[in-house]
Amino acid sequence: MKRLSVVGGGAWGVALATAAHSAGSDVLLYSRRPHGDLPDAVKTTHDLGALAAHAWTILLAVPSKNVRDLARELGDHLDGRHILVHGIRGLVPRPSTDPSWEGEELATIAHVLREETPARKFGALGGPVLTDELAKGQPSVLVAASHYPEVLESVKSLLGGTNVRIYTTDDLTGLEWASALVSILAIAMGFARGAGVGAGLVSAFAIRGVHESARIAHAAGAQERTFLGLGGFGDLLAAMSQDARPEVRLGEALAKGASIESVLAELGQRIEAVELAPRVKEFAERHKVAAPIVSTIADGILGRKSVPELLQRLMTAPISGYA
Amino acid sequence: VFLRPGVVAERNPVEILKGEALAERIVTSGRIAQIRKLAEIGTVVYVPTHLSNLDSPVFAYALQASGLPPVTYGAGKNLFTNPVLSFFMRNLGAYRVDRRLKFELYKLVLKTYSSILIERGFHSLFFPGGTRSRSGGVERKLKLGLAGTGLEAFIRTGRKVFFVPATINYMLTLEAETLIDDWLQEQGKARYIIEDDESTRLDRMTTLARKLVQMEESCAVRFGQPLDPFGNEVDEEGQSYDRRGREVDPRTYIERDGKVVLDHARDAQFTRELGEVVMEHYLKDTIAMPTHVVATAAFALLRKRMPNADLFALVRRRDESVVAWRDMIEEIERTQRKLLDLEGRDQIVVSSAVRGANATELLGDAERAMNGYHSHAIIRSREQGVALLDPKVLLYYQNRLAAHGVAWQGGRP
Repeated sequence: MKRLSVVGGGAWGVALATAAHSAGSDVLLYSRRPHGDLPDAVKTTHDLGALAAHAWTILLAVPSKNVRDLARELGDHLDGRHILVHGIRGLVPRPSTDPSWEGEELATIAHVLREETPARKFGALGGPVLTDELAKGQPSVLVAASHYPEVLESVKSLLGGTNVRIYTTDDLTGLEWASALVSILAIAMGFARGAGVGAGLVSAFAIRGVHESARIAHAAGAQERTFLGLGGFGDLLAAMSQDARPEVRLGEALAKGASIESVLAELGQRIEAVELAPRVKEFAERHKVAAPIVSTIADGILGRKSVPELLQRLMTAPISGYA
Repeated sequence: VFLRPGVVAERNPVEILKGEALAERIVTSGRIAQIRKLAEIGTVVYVPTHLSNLDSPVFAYALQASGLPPVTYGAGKNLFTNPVLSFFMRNLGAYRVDRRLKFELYKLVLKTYSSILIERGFHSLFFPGGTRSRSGGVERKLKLGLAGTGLEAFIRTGRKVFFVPATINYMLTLEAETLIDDWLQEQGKARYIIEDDESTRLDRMTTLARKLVQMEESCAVRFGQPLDPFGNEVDEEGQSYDRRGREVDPRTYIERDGKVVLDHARDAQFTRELGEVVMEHYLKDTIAMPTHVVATAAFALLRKRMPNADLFALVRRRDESVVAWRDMIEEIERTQRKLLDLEGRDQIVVSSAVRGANATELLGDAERAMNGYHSHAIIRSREQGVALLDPKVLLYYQNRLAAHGVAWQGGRP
């Protein structure tokens, strides 16, 4: 039988475990608490050793801030045969390894896994998939990325089925950056909605935001076209039409005058994009990539500037790139 | 002056290098004892930086001087017709590679040959940069095509294969002037193979040899941390460790459903990732020498003078720049401090000539070295200051420290 291990007892981890079970996989979930919403056949464990022994492929669905510690611990139980695939929409700050730059760098999750584990075969999941729909078994589309064809085959075999369609790419860095940057753009989409901005302008910001993100990520080694596909623009479209996405709700509430702290308290969760946006802005500046939209999100929207001021800033930013 | 074949017969090139005692001047350092042990356990594949056509003879001497077994390697066909270097190519275990042949069968035969050599325990040498660094900079992109056969050999036979990153460092590079010209002309485009450069000229080689012999530590080979084919560090016993110090069995990377398998897409990716680790070691094992330091300082001052100039404007300037002696000394001191700080963080190696000298002495060392060898004076102290006479050659030498963030990275060398 096909076997899969999943780390992460949040909604996303449970949805992935459920989907894999539906696809006929024998799934073991690492979680600290019991889950009433899991199919009975999906067992849970607290033991990373047991998790690593259960399957060669392990899916990680934890917040990016926990990934380094988790990987270091998990690494004690891994060897070169293990495949690690993550569904984490974030980038991790870490001290620069470039001797000419003493600030912080943004590392992808795969990069952290490389540093902390003996494994090499890494992959990422992204795309317009929505957690609730996946958990409920509604038709969903995922993107899987890896430099190793055997990782992509494994993901397709373990998760893919009649209701889960998986597109693949070898642009791992591109998908990781796209997932992270779309979560930042989603704040702007919510903000635009909350501010009552017209549909035409929202569309323009969405497209320009995706182009800008592609240019930024290119400086990190990503392929720009990944942003124009399911993992970038596809993911953003899904976020825009989904009220439940916390980044969208944050943006909408900010437009209506709420404070970040109050929205986060109300949502009861951390939004990684809030801390990531200023770091991406800094990254773009350092690499001399024009990033008017990400900058406006980082210090304008999150800096609680007024709606007219922000609109004026965006409408007068220098025009760059293709239309 | 190009050599006629008869001239070569009259003057044995080995005598030029050996007779001038250049071989004894090659300083070796790094993981020599460890590599000696590993060479008994498995096959060692050396992957050094590449600056000059002198690299392979120099490397061969460095191995011999360190008590390490000899290597076999593929060398560009043009080197076999080079009147000076062909002697070494024929006598140091090199086989011919024609880099202009692009068809698959030829590449396959070469790869198979290389793989079998490694399987049978012939230690090998590859320059993964592909060609000599045109800019003078440390390689930032590697083609591990042939070196990738080390992984193939490991998969086929289970014989342990150890990759050893190494740096070959020169106070003066034989072909500096031709290479930097080529780099400037062809920035970023497909390279052509240089047929005639300083390495075909006996007079330049003897001048260089004489210069190098006069100077301490003018040519240094450093052997870096040995790695397994997956970029893991290995110890003296050949055991692999991941970045957190855990023991790893390299065979697990190539197993699938309990069996060892060849998988070209997978193995190409393993090799690309190995290349990234090798490049990290190039930076750590680069040896900063007086010419690099002084060129870095000189170029920094040149840029201060023309803050808005691009690469080409800087190197094309015809008039002579004279910088204040005080400024030059301060800039050398600043560069020296930066390098020592980097060395403290294990990011570079500072040669004893740079560590032990003050800025005035360094300037003098670099002047004597460059002016006597290159076809014209490069930098000269005068009463009114220090004259920077050839920005191109200065650029070449400063590029060695660019990837470290110490020298200007303008052209991304």
